[in-house]
Amino acid sequence: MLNTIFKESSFIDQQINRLELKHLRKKTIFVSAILIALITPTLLVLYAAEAPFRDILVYFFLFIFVLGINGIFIFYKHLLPNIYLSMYITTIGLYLVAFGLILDIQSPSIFTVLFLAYAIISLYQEVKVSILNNIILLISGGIFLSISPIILENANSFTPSAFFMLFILVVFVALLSVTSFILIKRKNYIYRQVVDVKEEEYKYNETILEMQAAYRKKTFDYESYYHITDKFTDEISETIGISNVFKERLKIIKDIPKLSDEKLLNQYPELRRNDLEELKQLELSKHKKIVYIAFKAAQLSDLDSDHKEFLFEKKNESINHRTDDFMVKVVATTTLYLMLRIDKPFAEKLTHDKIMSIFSDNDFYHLLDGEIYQIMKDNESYLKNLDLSKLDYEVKK
Amino acid sequence: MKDLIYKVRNSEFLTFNESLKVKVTLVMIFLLFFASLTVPISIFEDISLSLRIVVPSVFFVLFVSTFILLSFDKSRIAMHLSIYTFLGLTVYYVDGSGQLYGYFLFFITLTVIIFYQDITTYILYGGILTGYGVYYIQVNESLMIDNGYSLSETGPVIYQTILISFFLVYLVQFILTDSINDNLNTDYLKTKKINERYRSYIFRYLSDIEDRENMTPIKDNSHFQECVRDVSTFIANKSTHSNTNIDIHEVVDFYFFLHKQNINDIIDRNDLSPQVKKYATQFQKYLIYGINDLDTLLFKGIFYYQKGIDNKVNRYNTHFDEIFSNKTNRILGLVMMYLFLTNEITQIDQWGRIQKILTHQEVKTLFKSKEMRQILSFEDINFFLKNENFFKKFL
Repeated sequence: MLNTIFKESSFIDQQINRLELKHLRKKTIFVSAILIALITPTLLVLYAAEAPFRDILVYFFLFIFVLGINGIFIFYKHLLPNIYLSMYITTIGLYLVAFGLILDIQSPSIFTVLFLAYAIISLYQEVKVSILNNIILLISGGIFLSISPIILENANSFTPSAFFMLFILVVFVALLSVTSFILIKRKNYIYRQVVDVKEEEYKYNETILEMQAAYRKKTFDYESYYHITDKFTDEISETIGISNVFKERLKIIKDIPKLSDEKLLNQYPELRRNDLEELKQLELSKHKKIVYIAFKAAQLSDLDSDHKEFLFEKKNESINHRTDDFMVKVVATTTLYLMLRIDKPFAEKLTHDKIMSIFSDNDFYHLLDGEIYQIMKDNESYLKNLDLSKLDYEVKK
Repeated sequence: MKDLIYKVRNSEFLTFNESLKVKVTLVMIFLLFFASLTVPISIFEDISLSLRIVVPSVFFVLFVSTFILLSFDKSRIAMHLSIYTFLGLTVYYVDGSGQLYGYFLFFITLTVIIFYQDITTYILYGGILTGYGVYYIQVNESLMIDNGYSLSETGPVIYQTILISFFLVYLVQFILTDSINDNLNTDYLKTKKINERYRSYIFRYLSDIEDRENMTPIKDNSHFQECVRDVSTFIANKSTHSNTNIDIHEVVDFYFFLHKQNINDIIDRNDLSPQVKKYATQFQKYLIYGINDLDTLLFKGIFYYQKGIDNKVNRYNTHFDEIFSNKTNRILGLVMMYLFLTNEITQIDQWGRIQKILTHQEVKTLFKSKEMRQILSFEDINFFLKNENFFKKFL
């Protein structure tokens, strides 16, 4: 899916990562809330176990430390965009609390606090943290069960063997690992689908604007937009009775396509990098973001999006529907291939090699019938040498 | 087994039902493994003879029934049966053997329910199981006391607290995951709808350009049709289906014939053969420029090498709250947006042409609409309404 839109997979990866970070920040807030809720019960258990006051304080400060780290990463997201560090600290901190409780209290009842720690960390649904979570639980659980049989010795009527307890632990971790694996895969799939469709949105929009310009033989006059906006801000500033604070910004916006970021930051010393990124959203010739937003806004008024359909309930658009006849798939795939190879009023033709490179992309490949793809792959010389000179759009006779 | 692992590894491409089937199969494998290790040993426990016979027999019946249901694609009922089996085993062990052992089984059974990732099932069965666990510990408090430890009296409360917390933490996870996925899904669907509309705009422009330039649409281009026929024949002859009695030439001709017809009329006609109707139905997804599967793939291919807009930061955010942190930038954004909407063609007019430019009043209605909350905040809209005359006069 990474490559379905364009070749820069690392760029798409970055966008998926941004989406992931945005949601991890939300999950961190939830984890922090659970940690806050756990402080009092933990301290009460320690108090009931007659733990020294100094030890209770240590646990308290460990919680505060983890929460403080989470808070810093949540509130200073511009300075600390990489929230992964906060997750690792939380994971280790939480397990430290769990280990401490097991060792301090040494009671069978407290052993399952490891399961609770595992459950809290699994809230992140992030692959590295999930692996870390499984490893810590398996190793620590195994160690506690084999080195400290004291934990098990005290069941009143029946003492299960360490083997069975270990077996239960392995079943527990195995089931939840598969759960996490499936959840993480699905989450990544959704992220990629969303990024995919949003990238398409920009490109569709760009194609429309290009076709509109071609049809009307008129290009988008962004200079007049700046000029009219400048006049408007003059008027409104004068009416309100303030100096025109917009002028300087419009000047920077106009300079954005001409100068690099570094040069802009040097030329306008008061301009910060964050401000520059915001002004890029308003730049009309190169970045065009506000144009896309406006065009999208115009579609919202009568867009029917009430129909609820879930990503996993639908079958992707493809030429590989199981129910379709093979010959139908052959004709559809051939049409697609040839449509890509010819010039169209809205897109230039692609070479055979480029098309086969798209078709072989893992995600596009799944949308085609495997046998048809293989025949095309095995007979590339035939396809390359097709005479397509007469296929371009022709004028009616 | 290989197929099962393949399906787990590619689970994101499975539908809900397929995914559920894989999960139930996995649970049944776990269950078989688990029961084969624990049931024989439990026979030596202090359990009545009837229970020793009844429990393994019931387990066997449930196990076989689940697999039968799976083979008939009744994954949801199979899921419930597998949960009942685990619930039964848990109650059996809790009542029959060691309390600590049984207590751990509460977590295993909850894990199985979690594994299915269905919030209703989790609340129902997970809630019942947790409630039963808490009740059991409460009524058997004396058995759960951690004798000889500093927490001897508090032991049962700790057992209960951890079990409830575990249940609640996973409940939070369910709610959080559902809420995030739902938001992403809504966003996805809305964007997809917009993309479909954009595609229809592109095709309208294409049709206008073809008319104006007196060009033959590609679907009517005889050279194109001939080329599709040649390449299709070549592929069909090389395929394992080459021996079928279907003439690929006829299929291609029928495909291009359909471009001039109303396919629904063909499907509804009683005098046509089922074969014709079948092909018409299947080709409906692959007509050239028809807002369908073929053109979705066509644009995917076209866009593959295109780069899109230049913004990397806040690339997919369109709400002013997310892309602007100060009022000055918001006002500039609002002004430029208004200018665009009142000066550029953005919609289809009453004659079906892409000709419509919004009026001030229409933009005002749009800005006040619920849908615009996706882009503007109340603060932005209030600024616009307050300075409406300015916008109208100077822009």
